[in-house]
Amino acid sequence: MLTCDPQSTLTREQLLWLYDRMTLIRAFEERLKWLVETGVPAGPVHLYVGEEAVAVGVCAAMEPTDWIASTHRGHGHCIAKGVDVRRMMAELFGKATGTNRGKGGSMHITDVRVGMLGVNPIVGMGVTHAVGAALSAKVRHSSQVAAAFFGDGAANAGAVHEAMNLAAIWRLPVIFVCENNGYADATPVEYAVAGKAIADRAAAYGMPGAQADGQDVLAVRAAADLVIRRARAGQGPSLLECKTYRYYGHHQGDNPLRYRLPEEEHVARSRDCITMFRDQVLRERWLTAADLDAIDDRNQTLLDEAVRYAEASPLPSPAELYSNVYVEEHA
Amino acid sequence: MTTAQVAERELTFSQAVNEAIRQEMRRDPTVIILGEDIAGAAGRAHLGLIDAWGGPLRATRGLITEFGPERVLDTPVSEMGFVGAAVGAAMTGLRPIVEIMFVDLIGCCYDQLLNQAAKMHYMMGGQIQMPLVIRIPYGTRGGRLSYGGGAAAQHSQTLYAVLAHIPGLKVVVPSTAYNAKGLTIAAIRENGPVVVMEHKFLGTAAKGHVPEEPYTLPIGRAEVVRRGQDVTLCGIGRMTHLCLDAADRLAANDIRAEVVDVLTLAPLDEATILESVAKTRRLVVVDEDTPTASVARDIAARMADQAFDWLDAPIKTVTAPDTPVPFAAVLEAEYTPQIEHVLKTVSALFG
Amino acid sequence: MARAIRMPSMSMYMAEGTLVAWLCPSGSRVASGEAVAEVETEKATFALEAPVAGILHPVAHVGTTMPIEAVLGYVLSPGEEPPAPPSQSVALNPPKSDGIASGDLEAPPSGSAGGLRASPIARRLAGEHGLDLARMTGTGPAGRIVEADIRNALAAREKIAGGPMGAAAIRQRIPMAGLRRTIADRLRQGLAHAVPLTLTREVCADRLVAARKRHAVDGDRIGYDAWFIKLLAAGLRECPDLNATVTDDAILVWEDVHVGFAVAVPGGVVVPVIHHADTTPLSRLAALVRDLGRRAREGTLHPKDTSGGTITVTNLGASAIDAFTPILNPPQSAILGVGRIAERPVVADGGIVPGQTCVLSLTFDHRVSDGVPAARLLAVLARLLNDDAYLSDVAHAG
Repeated sequence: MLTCDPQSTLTREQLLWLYDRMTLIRAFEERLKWLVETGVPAGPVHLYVGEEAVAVGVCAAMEPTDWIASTHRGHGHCIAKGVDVRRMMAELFGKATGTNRGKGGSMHITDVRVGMLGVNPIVGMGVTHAVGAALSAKVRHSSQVAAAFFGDGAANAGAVHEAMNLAAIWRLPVIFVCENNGYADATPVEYAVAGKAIADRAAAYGMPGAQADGQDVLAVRAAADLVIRRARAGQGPSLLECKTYRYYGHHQGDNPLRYRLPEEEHVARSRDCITMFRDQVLRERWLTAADLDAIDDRNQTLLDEAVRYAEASPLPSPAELYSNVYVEEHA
Repeated sequence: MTTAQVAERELTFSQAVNEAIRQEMRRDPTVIILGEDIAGAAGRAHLGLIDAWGGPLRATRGLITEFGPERVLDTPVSEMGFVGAAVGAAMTGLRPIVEIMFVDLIGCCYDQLLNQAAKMHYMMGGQIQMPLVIRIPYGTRGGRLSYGGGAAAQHSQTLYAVLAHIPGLKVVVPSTAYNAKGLTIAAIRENGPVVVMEHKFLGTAAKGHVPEEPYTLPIGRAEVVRRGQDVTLCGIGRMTHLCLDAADRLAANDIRAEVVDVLTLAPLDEATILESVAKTRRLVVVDEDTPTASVARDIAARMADQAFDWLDAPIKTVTAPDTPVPFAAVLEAEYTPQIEHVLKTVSALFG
Repeated sequence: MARAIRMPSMSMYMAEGTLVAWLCPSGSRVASGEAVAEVETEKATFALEAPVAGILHPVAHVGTTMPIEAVLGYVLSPGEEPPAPPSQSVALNPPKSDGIASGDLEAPPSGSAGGLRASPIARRLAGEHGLDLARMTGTGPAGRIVEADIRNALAAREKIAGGPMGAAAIRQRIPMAGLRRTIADRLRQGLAHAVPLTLTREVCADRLVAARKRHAVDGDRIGYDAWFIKLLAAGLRECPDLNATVTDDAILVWEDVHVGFAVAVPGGVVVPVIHHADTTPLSRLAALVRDLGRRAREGTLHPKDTSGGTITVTNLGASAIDAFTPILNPPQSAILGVGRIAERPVVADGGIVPGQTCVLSLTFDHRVSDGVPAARLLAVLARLLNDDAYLSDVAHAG
């Protein structure tokens, strides 16, 4: 197990960024839930509410030129990595101005300009792509690092094991971030995952494994920082397991009380990552209430703008059905 | 049961599948079922949580309550692993039903179907049987929304062509609650591997009367679901309902279409289709899969050969285009065959 | 401004939902986010929330099933009039005024690379009937010659040229239909697989003629049909080989003897069947032959009267036919043709004397047996016909 010091000093800008990203994800997802419930046909959506600290903590330790690959529960990773929420909202509305020109939807949001390799709903596959990005960095002698996000469900997918083994034997600059929120759809982790901790699986591949409290963004950031530095220094991959919790169901429309006890959610909410961070930064006087409130207001305004943008944007033209099937010679 | 009660016994497609599995599991203790979240809340019965999902379409709801976790197994996200385990169990005395959550995931376990389940009996000179049923939801919503989207490229495909292509694997595509129950029971009783494709969005068109007692329908038999004289419309799954709707509209224009529900893609019932085409002289195959190397073109090629001397017009197919499924609803509606596509294709045969 | 409450898409597999309840009465004030309706899908029941605060104006009826995006109702501002009935922006069933678009097929250049445009069936029929496609115009798409064109050409040709043979004028056109067609199809189908062969034997009929005269019933002589049915049935008891049917993989030799006899009727031939002819007394056989024959000519036979035959007798004696090659009655494997009983020269004791003879023509399916059993059957029949004692027993039995 690695040890790290969550108290290592962050600048004011960095702290503001952490709060800004977490609250923007929260606001986006809550707004999306509202929109879907009141009739916006955004297709299947998988909300990240409750897990914000993991995406934000990890991305805080990454460079803009680094890569991440994500899962169906990917809006948080997209926002943490810097994807424009207006274009995300437009994508969800199926508009031509969306990140994927309306061709991908929630489960495929991608923005390679900010290093987001894509939300990928085939469980485990995104992990292999992150390994590929790390391989590319190594071959090109670039200092880029890749982070592969996956869940406790994907931890049982063969592709993830193959990806970890490959990364280890080739000493690739990739980190594996397992967001263990306790459930794969409706199947609990204590049933589906053999062994005591997912982080222990790292040992099978000769790489370091660490656990971090997924509700504590500073802890996640510190742990991520450590393993990313390792990777960037050419010391190979690591596995970071972050215990976290999704407040809502697997997908919008799922009733989680069919497979979870209500107390669980209460306990998780009592350790809400945003609330805890807010309390801490105020208590330590790293930031003021005015700083935080301003961010809250700004994010709500940004969300309003994103929805208006999505509503006003045009639909894709029928010809889009046939575009980009093959990769053309010219850009 | 009075006639009125019998007539009222209408089940949805999922309810019919549920009943088929349930009745077979009662009849035969070697039938087990595995898949992701086919029950849900696995291992939590002691907390009072059980049967949380029953599968994405509720087709397996209630089975764990009746048959217990030894025979109704939730699996981790490990398609290659658990489909392989089902193959091994089928070789050694069990009759497993395995569910792949949707057809887009067959890439995760294709070897188990392609190289293992389909070929074991052959490669081993008949030493083992493979009484394996693979249930797989598929298909787009295909309806017309004015914006927003569907389940996009990796959750909306049809893909049964890549399964029908494998020798040794039987593939059935039921279209109604009635034939869903009959074909599912038949598949469970087969001693070889059978894929049962279940369209995710059949809706009320598939709802209908389902007899309470167990029954089978023959695998490898297509069904003429509407008689006609002037053109044969072959439909698969949801597309059969589209063909029936098209036949109604064509009748108003004095074109009497015969509709054949293909039901089994492999082995294909060429005789029924041939008999129809020889009568009507014209064939349109409606298939929501992508066209290159599709079942639609396979049927067309077989009929071009066998029905050559009766054809009065070229054989046509109505399919999705050769593209991935787009997210945007306005594009998905164009992607999925609609009634206008069928009507336009048929009318061109008459000039 | 009125804000529509639309059916949401609440799960991956939801295409439609059913409104099961309105939770607030029409006209009530609702808050943004307040649950106002309950919707049921196959998977779950969930609550619909008001998108904004205002006055609830339900539109959809409880119990209706609606697709995603359908309008269930509105939230109105106070005092606002509800909008006109929603024109669903979602057209799931395009209006019936959609005519069928025709002629959308791009016509290839005429002559299409030198090939003649005709459908496969048109080509086949043209070939079968000797029509020249090059001299025809097609009415199919893009000028293709289609089946209808061929059929029209054939009909016209018959009118002009007077029939398929060319020069001769048509006196009468009898449709190949009804009984005639049925017989034609059955025979052709039956003979598609059978291998028929006819053996003939001239037999002495003096004793039969005498026996018939002696054993008339009430002055009525029993008809030759009945006699030959009885003789054949008896013959089959001794030689059962030909009382059989060929199937895909076996020859089924029947236990029972059900003898059919051919009856000429208007428009063709019908074959009523006498079941268990071997155990039926002669007088009863005669009565059955009379009754079935009459009903055959009247057209009042039941299907059971003509089914189940295992062998057939056909008697052309009344038409003054000496010998012939009767055609098998599928799926039977043998048929006995009876020629006329006539006075013919017979060789006896080195001299020629007049005698009553009859030629029996036995056609059988060579798949069932070769000639020997058939010859044996004829020999048995010849022997029985010359056996006074036997003929007497048959007549007296009843």
